[in-house]
Amino acid sequence: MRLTSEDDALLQGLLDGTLGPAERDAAERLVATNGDARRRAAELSELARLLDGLGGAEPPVDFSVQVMQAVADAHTHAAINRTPEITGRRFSPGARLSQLTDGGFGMGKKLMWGMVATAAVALVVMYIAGYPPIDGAQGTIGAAKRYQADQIAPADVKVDDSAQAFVQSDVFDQLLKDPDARQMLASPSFRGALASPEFRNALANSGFKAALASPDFIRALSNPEFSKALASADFRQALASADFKAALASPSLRSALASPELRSALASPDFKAALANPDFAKALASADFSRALASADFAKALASPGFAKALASPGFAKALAAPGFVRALSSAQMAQALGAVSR
Amino acid sequence: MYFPSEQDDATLVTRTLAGDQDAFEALVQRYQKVLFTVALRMLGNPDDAKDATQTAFVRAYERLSTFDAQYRFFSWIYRILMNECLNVLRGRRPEDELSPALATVGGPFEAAMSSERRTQIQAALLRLTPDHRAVVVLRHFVGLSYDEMGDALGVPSKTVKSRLHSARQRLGELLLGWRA
Repeated sequence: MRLTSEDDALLQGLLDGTLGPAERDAAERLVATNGDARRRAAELSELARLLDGLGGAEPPVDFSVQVMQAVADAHTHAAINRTPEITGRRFSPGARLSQLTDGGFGMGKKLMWGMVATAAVALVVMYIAGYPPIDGAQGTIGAAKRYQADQIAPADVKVDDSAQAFVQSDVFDQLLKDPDARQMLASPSFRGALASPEFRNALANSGFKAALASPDFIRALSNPEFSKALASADFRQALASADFKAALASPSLRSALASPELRSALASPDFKAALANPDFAKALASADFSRALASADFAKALASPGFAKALASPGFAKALAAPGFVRALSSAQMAQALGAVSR
Repeated sequence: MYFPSEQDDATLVTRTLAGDQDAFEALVQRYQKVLFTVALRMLGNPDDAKDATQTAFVRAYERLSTFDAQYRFFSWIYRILMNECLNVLRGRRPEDELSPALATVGGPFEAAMSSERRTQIQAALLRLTPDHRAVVVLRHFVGLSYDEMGDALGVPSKTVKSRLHSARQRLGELLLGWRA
């Protein structure tokens, strides 16, 4: 006897355990008295066994950590764009980051700015320091001295803007809207790519070297705290991730690193002062920051057009060289915030 | 099997809304495995599955203020994930959809099944329409009831039943040689 669609539905319900007592009795009667129904029930069971055999899948290790980083990033981004209507709603997840907001522009933006700047600084410094560093002081000073030949005088650098102006610029807004860059700013990794020929070639142009060769900059790198930071195990470990190599070889990043604006900014006294600040050095050497630098997401973000564009923009360069940069980046609050985001 | 008490979920949601990120992380840890499984079976690719699952969690967090506490949290977030998976599938080219770069991530059951057979099963799943695949995934890998699947997919349970029937028929044809 052929099965009707009602019969088939009964058998499916029997398999899925969704039948009430009366329907269940009817289904069992059907199976007991109808060969086609028996065969169909067996087929459905076999299919279920196959599917169930595939089982569950394990998400990647640390997946929840990655999700929470993405959440923190999204929250920070939302806070930046929050309108009065939205802030009036009852939902305010992420109070931990919200506590960092202040009067002028929100700490969310400051935090982003700080992370972009720190990433840029880390890139530059690791190049100068050489990779891997033999030891903090020798590696740093020795590498820096290699570039003493061409110098940019501090007078060549025009510092007439502030970090705040950059944070309020279109370029910075674009950076914040760049998904890859945002992911980087809130996520964990960095490494050995700095030893790659591509990266070294990118930075080997004379203009870039000149910017790094000023006496103030070398003094900053000779600072014991900074040298210690560069030599820390966490920092060096962070430099050991593979994805970073490809990122640093990206044309957009290489071009950004060689831009005249960035070169000028790196030569400014305030930028050097920031590097020499013990709090900044401490933040750079922290395990949290190293973790952030060591992630594939960070490498991906470095190669993103948004990051490179920001790095090469005159506004960013001016901001790097502004007194506001020193205060923001070297503050204990910033160090704490960087750690909070990368957790 | 995956679901702890609704009270626990509701409490965690309330705490998250009050600004406690640790509470949301607890929800992530609670549902990450089953959501990742759903995404993996829907998309057939661990990288896409990871991205879709992460996106679903972030969207859930961002929209938590719109969550209606009279419903179950897991139904709500499954719906978000399913929408995300369907978006990914819509963006794929047809040839990608049938690609056998199949999920090799799995639990103990997978170890017991031959690699070739697993590949066949996942390939068969990927040959279903997304709507049909969704009901099979939610039924067999999550264990949802028809009503719960209806909530997660935004369709009546009668539709779920009908889709499940059609999906199983197609899978039977592909995997067990059932007659069309």
